[in-house]
Amino acid sequence: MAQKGFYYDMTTCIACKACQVACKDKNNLPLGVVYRKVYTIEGGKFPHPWFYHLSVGCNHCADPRCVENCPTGALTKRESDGLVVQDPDVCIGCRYCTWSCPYQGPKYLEEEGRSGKCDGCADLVDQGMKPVCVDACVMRALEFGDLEELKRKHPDATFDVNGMPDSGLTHPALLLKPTPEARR
Amino acid sequence: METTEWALILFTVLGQTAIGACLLVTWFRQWDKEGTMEGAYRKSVWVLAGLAFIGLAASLLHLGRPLMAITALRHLSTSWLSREIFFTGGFFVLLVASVLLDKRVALRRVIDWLAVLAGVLAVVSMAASYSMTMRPAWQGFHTYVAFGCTALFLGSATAGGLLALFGRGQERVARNLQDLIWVAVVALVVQLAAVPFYISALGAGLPAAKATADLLAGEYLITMVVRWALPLAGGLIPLLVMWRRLGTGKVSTGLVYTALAFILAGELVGRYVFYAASVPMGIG
Repeated sequence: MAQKGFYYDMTTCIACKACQVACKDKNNLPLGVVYRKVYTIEGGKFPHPWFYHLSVGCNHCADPRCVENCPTGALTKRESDGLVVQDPDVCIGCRYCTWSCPYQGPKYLEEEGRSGKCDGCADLVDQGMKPVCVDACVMRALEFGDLEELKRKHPDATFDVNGMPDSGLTHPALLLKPTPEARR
Repeated sequence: METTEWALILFTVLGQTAIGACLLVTWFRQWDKEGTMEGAYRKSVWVLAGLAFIGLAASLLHLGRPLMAITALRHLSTSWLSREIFFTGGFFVLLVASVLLDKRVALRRVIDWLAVLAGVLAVVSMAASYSMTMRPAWQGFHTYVAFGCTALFLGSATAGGLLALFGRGQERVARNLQDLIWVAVVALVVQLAAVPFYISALGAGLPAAKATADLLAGEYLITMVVRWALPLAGGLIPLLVMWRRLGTGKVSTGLVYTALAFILAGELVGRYVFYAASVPMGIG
């Protein structure tokens, strides 16, 4: 199976949240719901405080627990590019996917009575374009592409950084270039 | 805790109660060769089918789209939630079949044991479906122990209540109640013995597991004390008093109902904490 994924440069990100806003706009999400979220993690103490950011949406994992657990089959992993997508008409709103993701990717949409999640902008990807979060990033901290190519392009990147769940749980398609404090 | 979890509290507790009680009633019914308690067993199965129905109906309230609930059976190949619904639904259907085919004794016996099998698989599936989430509080052995013990502890108290009610005056009731007290005490001891292992496993686990341990030792400490005080003071003591009285041939139905009420309350509070103190893995 081909696997597309994200590369995220933590050393460049300034947490402007353009990715988060672009995603929310594209998916027309209600108040309080975001499919991509920028987290800021702080630590240290004077005179050496530190912080870093993490921009995380669905990581289109190689072993997506949400797909395995979904009782209706509404969530599937595409053979063509490994993106984890949802058929909103099939979802019954049991919220089991929201319990199944270590990255809190799937979200419950109260008004629609169903869950929703980042689909990697599969509609744009099918037209040869990039996800909107990647295009919106003013610092070019986010990249999207074939995961093997991203690995070759960024040999120092890693799947595991401090503050993120162990990648061994679901094997996320998210490569990260960590700041020194985030390096595991 | 989300209010929608109340639907799951009802579903899991009532479902497990019906399954545990069904297992015990079916066992007693199998060995009642004289058939003196047949009426009591039959009425008990009716009530257990009703409990299972209420549990299943409550589970629909958890869904955003309850009218599409049947499609939850589509992913039996990988989803433990699909299997949970399949076996719990199967348990209910088989109980109803048992009631409807009551006159055909041989067939009814087979259906009763199939219902027990479906019920046991439902409890295992329930525990597995929580164990497969990314909430450390639900992962591992404790969920299996908790659900299994609810089935046997509350199930034995429920079976006791039903047999005391429907089998009043029957000689065999005393023997059934003695057996049920044994089951209840063993289930309670196992449940209690698992708690220190659970807390220590949480304390040594991931940050989300430690957060659950902190909640149990802090915000939910009083709730946890109440959760165990209810079955110990209100459940175990009446059961032990009743055990002594049963030795002299007396059946104290009031004690059975008291124990049932306190055990039910304790299990409901325990299941509330199960949901409320579960902390999801996350970023940060």
